[in-house]
Amino acid sequence: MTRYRQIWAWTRFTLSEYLRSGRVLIELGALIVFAYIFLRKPNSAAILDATQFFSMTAVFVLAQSIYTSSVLMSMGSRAQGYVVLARPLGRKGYLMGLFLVAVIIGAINFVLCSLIVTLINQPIRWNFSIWGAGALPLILEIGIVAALVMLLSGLVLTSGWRLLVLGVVALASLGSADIFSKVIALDSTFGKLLSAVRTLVGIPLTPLLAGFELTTQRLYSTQSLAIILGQITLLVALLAFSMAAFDRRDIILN
Amino acid sequence: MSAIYIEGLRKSYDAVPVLRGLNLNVEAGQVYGLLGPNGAGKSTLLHLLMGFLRPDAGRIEVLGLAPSAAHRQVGYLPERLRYHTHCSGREYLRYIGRFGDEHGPGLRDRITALLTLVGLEEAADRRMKTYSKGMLQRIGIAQALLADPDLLLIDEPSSGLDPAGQVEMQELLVELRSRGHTIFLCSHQMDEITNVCDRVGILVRGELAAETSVANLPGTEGIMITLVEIPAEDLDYGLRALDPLITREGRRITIPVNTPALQARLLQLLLDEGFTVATLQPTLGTLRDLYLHVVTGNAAPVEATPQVTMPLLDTLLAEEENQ
Repeated sequence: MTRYRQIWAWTRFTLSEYLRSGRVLIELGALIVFAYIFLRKPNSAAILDATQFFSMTAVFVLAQSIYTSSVLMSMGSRAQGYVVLARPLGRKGYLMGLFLVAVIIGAINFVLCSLIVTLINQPIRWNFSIWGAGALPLILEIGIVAALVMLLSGLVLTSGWRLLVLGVVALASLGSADIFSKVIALDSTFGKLLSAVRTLVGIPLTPLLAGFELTTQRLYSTQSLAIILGQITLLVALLAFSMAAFDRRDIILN
Repeated sequence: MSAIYIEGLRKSYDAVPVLRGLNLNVEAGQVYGLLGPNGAGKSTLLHLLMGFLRPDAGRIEVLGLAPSAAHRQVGYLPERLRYHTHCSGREYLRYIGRFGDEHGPGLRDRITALLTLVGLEEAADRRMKTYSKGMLQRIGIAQALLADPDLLLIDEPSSGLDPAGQVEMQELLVELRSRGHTIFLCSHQMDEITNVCDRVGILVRGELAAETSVANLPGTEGIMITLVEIPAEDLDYGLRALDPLITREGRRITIPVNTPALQARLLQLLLDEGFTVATLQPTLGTLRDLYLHVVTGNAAPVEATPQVTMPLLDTLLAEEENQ
């Protein structure tokens, strides 16, 4: 309980610093532009449905989460952090606080998008359960993206490891894209090997991609439950990996 | 009991060694000052003591614990103390307290007491971005004292302060010393070390090159030799070859930090060159002399500053009497 209180105090402190520093104005500006272009009703005949709303908003909110998480990680890399790290909060609590702020800001962004669309261009058949069905996997997606950005930050991994993880993510993200088939014969030994590696490293990212699809489609079944569990597992794994890495490395803040 | 125990500590950055097998012991209740040129490894040592850095080899114990396990009992003031200046001093201390799970009226009272101790009670509710550098350093001391730590690790508290600020900081450190805190202080300020510390170590190229009790410092080093005749300037080359810190003004030759071996070699040189020594007097050495002597690389690591010993003086005087 003590540890949770310490982490929550650090989260509130970082959130208040983020807000007072004015960095949040960039997010607010982007939100206004996004809402003006994509969420407003262009003419009286135009109709927006929930799938369209979630497809656009998920991309926007996840892109903003990448920005927010990057800014927070750079805030966490400043020399101000030494005093905080010297407290019993510790390394894990420090990282968890930064992560939580990224998720909170991402979630607020999404809620604001939802409020704006409800007020100015309410989608058809729009109710709380439809919103919740898309919101749950999307908030988990925000968490996964924030955890991934945290893992790939200079605060957590050394440049060699970052390059390796980025390479794996890039390889996995290509998934079924046919970029390889154009330059490499897939039936060759190298092609088969690459395909196997790609499948293997793609497995951990499957919940991220499936979670995005679940957000936009919101078609719940037993498989959807597996996707949600997969998202949670991926999120926990990324956090655990980040904390283990941060716990072992030399902390040099500037 | 040791507040800090370090044995064979090694640390490198990208294969560049910073600490090379450092051994150090700071007793509980002691105020220990660590001097050293820039890049000697002082801040690296503090970061290792705080558990921010992991050692390559060796053993570190802080209050008998691993560094990262001792945070609850350690107060830390970093060298480049940057702040989250969006909040007031009081608000900042409240947050810092909460990161250590201190809260409620107890924390409030402690913050008020610490703000009074560091002389910031009137500025407590002002935003820290309006604070002077001296005020920021004092709030830094206050945050380090928040948990009433057994050990304080302080890195260059007077760095960048004007003379008045340096005096204020020194007074504050003396006050902390009188309250019985064990303090490990890294500094470039000789006055600060001599006025505040019980013991001083000099870190050079990652090794403890000298260590002594501050009480031993006055009157430990140095001799001044007066020759009967004024020597030619050629003698200066010979003197510098013996020790670059040996100086000559007219017929007076001064060794700022004396050792029996150096004294013997100097007297031998003077006798070989045919000079007659008129007087040989001990001089009062200072921490600055010791520091410069050690840092320029002419001193072997020593356990304690040697007391002035002049074994050749009696022989010389006897020879003079015989002549």
